[in-house]
Amino acid sequence: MRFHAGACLIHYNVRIHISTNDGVPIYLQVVNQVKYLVASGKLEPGEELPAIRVLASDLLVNPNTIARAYLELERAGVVVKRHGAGTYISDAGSPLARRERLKILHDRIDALLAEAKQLNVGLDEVVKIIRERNEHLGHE
Amino acid sequence: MNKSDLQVQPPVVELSHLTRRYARQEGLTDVSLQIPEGAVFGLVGENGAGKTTLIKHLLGLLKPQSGFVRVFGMDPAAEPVKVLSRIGFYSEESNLPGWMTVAEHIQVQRAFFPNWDPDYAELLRDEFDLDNSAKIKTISRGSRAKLGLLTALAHRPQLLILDEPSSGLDPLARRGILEAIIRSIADEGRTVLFSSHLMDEIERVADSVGMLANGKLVLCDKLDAVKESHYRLQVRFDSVPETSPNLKSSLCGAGDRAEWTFICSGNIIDIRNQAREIGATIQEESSLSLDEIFSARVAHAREGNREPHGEKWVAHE
Amino acid sequence: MPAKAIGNHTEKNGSLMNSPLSAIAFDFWARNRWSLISLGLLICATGLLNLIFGVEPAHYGEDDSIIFSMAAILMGISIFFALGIFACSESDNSQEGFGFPTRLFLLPIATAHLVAVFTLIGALGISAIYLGWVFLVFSPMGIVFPIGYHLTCLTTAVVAFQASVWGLRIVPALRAVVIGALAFGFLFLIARPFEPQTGKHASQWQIAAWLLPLLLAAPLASWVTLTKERHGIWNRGFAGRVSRQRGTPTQSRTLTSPRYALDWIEWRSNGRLLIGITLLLILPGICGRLPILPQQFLSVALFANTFFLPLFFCFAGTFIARDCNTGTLKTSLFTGVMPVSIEDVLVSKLRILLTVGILGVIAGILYSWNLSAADSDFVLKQSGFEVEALYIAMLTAPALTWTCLVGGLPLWLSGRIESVTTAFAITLGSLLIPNASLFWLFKDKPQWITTVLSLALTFKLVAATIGFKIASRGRLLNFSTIATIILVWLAVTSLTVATGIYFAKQIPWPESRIVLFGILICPLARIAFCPLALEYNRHQ
Repeated sequence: MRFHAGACLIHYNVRIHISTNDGVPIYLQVVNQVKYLVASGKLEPGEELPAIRVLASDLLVNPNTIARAYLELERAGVVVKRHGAGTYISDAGSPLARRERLKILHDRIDALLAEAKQLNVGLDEVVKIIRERNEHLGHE
Repeated sequence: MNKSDLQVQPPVVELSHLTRRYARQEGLTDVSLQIPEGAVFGLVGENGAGKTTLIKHLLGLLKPQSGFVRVFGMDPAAEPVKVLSRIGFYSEESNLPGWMTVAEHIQVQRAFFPNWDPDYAELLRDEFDLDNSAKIKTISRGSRAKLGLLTALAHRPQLLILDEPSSGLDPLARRGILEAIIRSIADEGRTVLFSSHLMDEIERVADSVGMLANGKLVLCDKLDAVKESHYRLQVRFDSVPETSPNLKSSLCGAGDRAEWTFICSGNIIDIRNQAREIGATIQEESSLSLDEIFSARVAHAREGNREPHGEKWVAHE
Repeated sequence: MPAKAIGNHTEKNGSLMNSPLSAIAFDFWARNRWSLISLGLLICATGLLNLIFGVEPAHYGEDDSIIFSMAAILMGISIFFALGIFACSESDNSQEGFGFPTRLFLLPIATAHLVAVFTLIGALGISAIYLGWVFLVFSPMGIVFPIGYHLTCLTTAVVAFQASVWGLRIVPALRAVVIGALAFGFLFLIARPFEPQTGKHASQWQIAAWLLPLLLAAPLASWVTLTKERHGIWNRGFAGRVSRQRGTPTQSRTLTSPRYALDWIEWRSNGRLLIGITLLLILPGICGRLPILPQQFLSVALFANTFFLPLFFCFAGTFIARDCNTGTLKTSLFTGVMPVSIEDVLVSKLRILLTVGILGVIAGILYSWNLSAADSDFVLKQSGFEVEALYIAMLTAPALTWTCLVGGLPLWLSGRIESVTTAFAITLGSLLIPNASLFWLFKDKPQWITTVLSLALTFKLVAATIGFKIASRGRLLNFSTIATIILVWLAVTSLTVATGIYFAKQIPWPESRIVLFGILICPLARIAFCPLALEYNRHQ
């Protein structure tokens, strides 16, 4: 049998990874990660997504789950279905991008703030640390 | 299962108040369950919770002591031939006769199933890399599991029953088995009942889930509904409560002094209201993995009779 | 002082359980206790029956020699059974057939110690059973056995048997031949003292002396082969080549229907029985009176058949009833989920049963034919059987075959008792003890025999009717299948009755009794309850 490493290669450097350890439903993980990939530009408009059965057997999840994720993505306007030709990243992908990017950041920031609160680190200090790290990484 | 679904067809599997007692061990207590056509039903439970007993009832290997079992609308103990010829069954427990060769085993199975698809069987055999002339007792455990799965799939059954199909296999073999199962699910109109103690498998493969604990069905719903109705709540009390605090919809809770964590099931708005009523401030709400939901349900089902092992959760009644 | 006493006690107890070798002995006992206990009970029961119904040694005469024969047959059977137990073998899934319990290789005990313990258990066990028979049953009859000679033969037989069962596991065909040869060889040696010695013959002590090297060499051979097996050295060299060559590709057949497939499974898993009957019973039976073979071969054949006939067919019945996958009498998951009807399963089991039964009748007739040989010096004849009376054997030998073969078939098919060995022991006991007691009870009251036989016949017919009625009402059997079973039964029964009537002139029995007996021979009621038993086994 042919085995992949447990994650699906949509593109040579694009991966979707499913985890059942956190509580996020699998279809939502697929939706979020595709959105993330589109937002970060790793998936470009017009690119084709793998067929439901292929992605399902590569990710080892129920095909119905993938179908549901694609439906959600289609509803959100991230992908379009072309009859008999598969699922493609929609051209309207880019206007969404900024909102999606921010949404992903929102989730991360929420988690950071919750952790900071548990560790008794004030908001000002958190902001200061973010600046420091940013300088350290040499951004801007 | 979801009763609001419009079902023209009777459910593929129907159990009603099924009870089975053994002399020395727990059997099943009042299990009712319906699996509609096309569902992928995951049966979760610890070892010895009654998963295999339940499946044996579906196969007609056990007659219900009370209650009834219908598969395709028939009693499997009364109509074994009609029911079994439409079921593909594979279990980790059903060790195949070691004296047969792979080819002989496939030949024998083929004779029993009128719908057997020899091309499909050959395709699977090729894909599973099974050697026709090898004796079953000489092939590896993973290969034996694949052979069992092959004979369960090759007659394209309407109902596929898999009892712990991948337990005891190495990760690579397990992946192969899961892949084959997932591909077969995609076949039109196939109903699958899948038991496992590995939540990861259930969460990936199933769309509905039933949880068995000590012979009782403690939860049975669509997987999404299960995941969307269970929360972990971290709360803080302004004053340290004198007795262990309790939320009405919590399954179990743990904590000390002012900081408490509850695992709740129900509508999130109701849960928030309940928390407010007992004077707790919600610090954090998070969703749960299936594993955590299962542990909480099991602890809840034990109703504090016994100290739940492993987790430190205390069950609430 | 109590404290000290307790301390002593625990210390003693501890040292007993701590010794690995005694733990192995205990393990052996735990696995075989029911078989061993039933063997002990069989000896005691026979001794007791003999005390009650037997005659004083002083008056021991020709009339009572049948008791001796019965006891001798029971003794032979129990010794064969004991050999099976003391082979100390188990089957396990990873290995071919029966052999040394490989799980013990995981224990930190030297192979030499393992061999020593099991050799000792085997030698002591078989001696204990033999001595039990001699002192509890035969001494009160006033019959003297050459104890020293027999003990040498038996212990050598046990260790040689162990060595071949353990060491030749990877070459099962060769093992079967070696064990067969050993069985006949030792039967011959054990039977020797009962033969009239003519001409120049080796004395018992000479033979015992010849056996000594074998007695010493066999455990050594076990030790060598088991060391190889334990460390997987078998994979190299000759044995490795042999085991690799097995599993040659088989041509795939097309089994077109479930019935063909079931038949194929039954034949493949019970084929060994047919070979066994031919080798153990029919071949010696045919050879028994061949003029080219030495005279003594007839005795060996008779001796073999006397022991093997009931033993083998009791075993055959339980063997056929078992599940083809797990080898126990309980329906396994594999068999249970086959989409086949109870009727199909039963019919394929009955077919193989009928085949074995027909071979059994042939073996039985050959046996009786050998018995009736005018120059036979067999023990039955020495104990007063008239040549005319041997015609009864023509009827009883096939009867014994059928009765033993069907044995407790409904019970075995119901899977209530899981182990084939236990079922076999129960069949043997439940057939031999009541039959022997009935014989002792009614031997002086022949006027009652006809009444008892007609009662039994009525019971049989009523039970058969009830069984078939329940089965057909539960849609377990078609009418045509029931009709076929009854037709086969009628054919076999009319054959036996015809044989009985033909021999009636030579037998001092009234004709009515022979007819009743003939009808009773072929089982019907037990067959009628088989579908119910199978159904119970499948849907508990």
